[in-house]
Amino acid sequence: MSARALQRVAIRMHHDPYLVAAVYDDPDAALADEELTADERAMLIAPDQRAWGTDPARVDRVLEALRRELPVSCAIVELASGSRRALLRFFSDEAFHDCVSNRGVLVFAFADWLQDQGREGRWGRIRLTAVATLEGACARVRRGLPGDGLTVELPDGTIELFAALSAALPTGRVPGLNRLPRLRSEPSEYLRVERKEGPGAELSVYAVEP
Amino acid sequence: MGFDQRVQELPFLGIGVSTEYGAATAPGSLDLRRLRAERPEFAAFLEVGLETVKGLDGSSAAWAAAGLPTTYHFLDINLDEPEDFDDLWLDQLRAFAAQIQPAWLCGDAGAWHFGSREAAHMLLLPPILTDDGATELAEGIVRLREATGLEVIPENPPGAVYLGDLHLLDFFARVCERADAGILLDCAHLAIYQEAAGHEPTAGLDGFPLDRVVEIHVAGGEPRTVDGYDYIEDSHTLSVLPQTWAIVDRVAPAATELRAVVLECDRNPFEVVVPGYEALARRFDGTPFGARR
Repeated sequence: MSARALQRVAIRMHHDPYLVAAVYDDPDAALADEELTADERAMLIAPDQRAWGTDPARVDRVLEALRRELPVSCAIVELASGSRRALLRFFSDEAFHDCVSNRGVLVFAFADWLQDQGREGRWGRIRLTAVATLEGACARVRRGLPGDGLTVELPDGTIELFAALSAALPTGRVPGLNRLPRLRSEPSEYLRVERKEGPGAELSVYAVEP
Repeated sequence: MGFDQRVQELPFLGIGVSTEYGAATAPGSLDLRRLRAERPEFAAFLEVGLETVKGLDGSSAAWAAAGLPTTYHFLDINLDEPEDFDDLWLDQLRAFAAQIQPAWLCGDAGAWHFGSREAAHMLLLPPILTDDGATELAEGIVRLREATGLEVIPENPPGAVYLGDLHLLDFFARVCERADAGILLDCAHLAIYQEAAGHEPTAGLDGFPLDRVVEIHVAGGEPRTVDGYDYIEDSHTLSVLPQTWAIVDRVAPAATELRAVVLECDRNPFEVVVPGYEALARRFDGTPFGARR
């Protein structure tokens, strides 16, 4: 297991320059939770530290792969923060590192992280949490989890907001946050996400009664 | 049956070309049909780079439909992870193998992804160069060989960061011995490793079992610098570095079981590629491989 444990740490370091800096600064402290021997910790800092930075576009590629399934959530973050740098913080967050360490599904971890950011009052707040919940549900249903679909309880107006941004994104003319539909925490709306029948079919999302 | 017997049953393929899904239709890419028609000695086989989720593109499917020789280069299996050998992936691999009838399976023996196969999880990192790592990789090679009935030839991957206490060639020597397998020696990837490790291009080859080299890859590389750190990028251009040629020249005369050589250049146009193939072929003059072509 040891070589594989080392590889998982390496994968995290390839995505997170802050972790690289921490490991080179104090490997025992930075890797205290890892099942690595002293020799293995030494292996991680044997290469020139700058070698970890030879593919700076790696996180951009991963982010764009994630964005394909969470385009509206990413757009809300960018509208609220003014740049995509906010999204790249994911790769230095515990959510990313836990996902890699535990063989999780990154798009689920990213959706959950975005929901948490909204709950904690960042980047669009309730709108981010609502849309990331919806797009996270879509990602799960797309992978057959659970088998027949998923119903999510969201703030009233979520489907309207989602539809407005989904329509605007391909045009490149995305309105500012203050011109997007507002959400109301009461009452809730219930949205059903299901896979359509047939090969290559996408998802259907529609309102249902609670 | 041991490798020394199994290798005798592998066909001699000659010099070939590699491709991946969609590469043949990218602007400025090599026209595989033209290379096969006009310079068949450089297109004796097609190495099909395959991700099971993407499958075969039109040019690879047409090549296979014509009954032309192929090898299957996997792009989506972490050989050292038993949980990566799920039934769905194995079924898909077997189906594609049935379609293209490869002479063998081969591919970079590194980390192609973390976790499950997902678009956002894809990468390619070298294996951890430790004794434990060699054992885990060897077990995966045997597992795939037994699951498919095909010879599995691991390739030394490229990388910018190599971790572990073994020289890459010592690591793969142990892998080959424990899996009783051959190796696909990517000379450009080896040059990248030697540069990163501060070794001479041919360091470590004296103790390496060159009679296990079944296939060789040659490709261009580009010197790069980031924050004052110099490294080589695996560019797959026709700019083959002197270090890579030095490795080819050292390996080729002793690679008695070499059956296939690929110039990885499929994203370059025909006119640029042909002189590269001619230079490659000359390197094998007077070698056991050259004598069999």
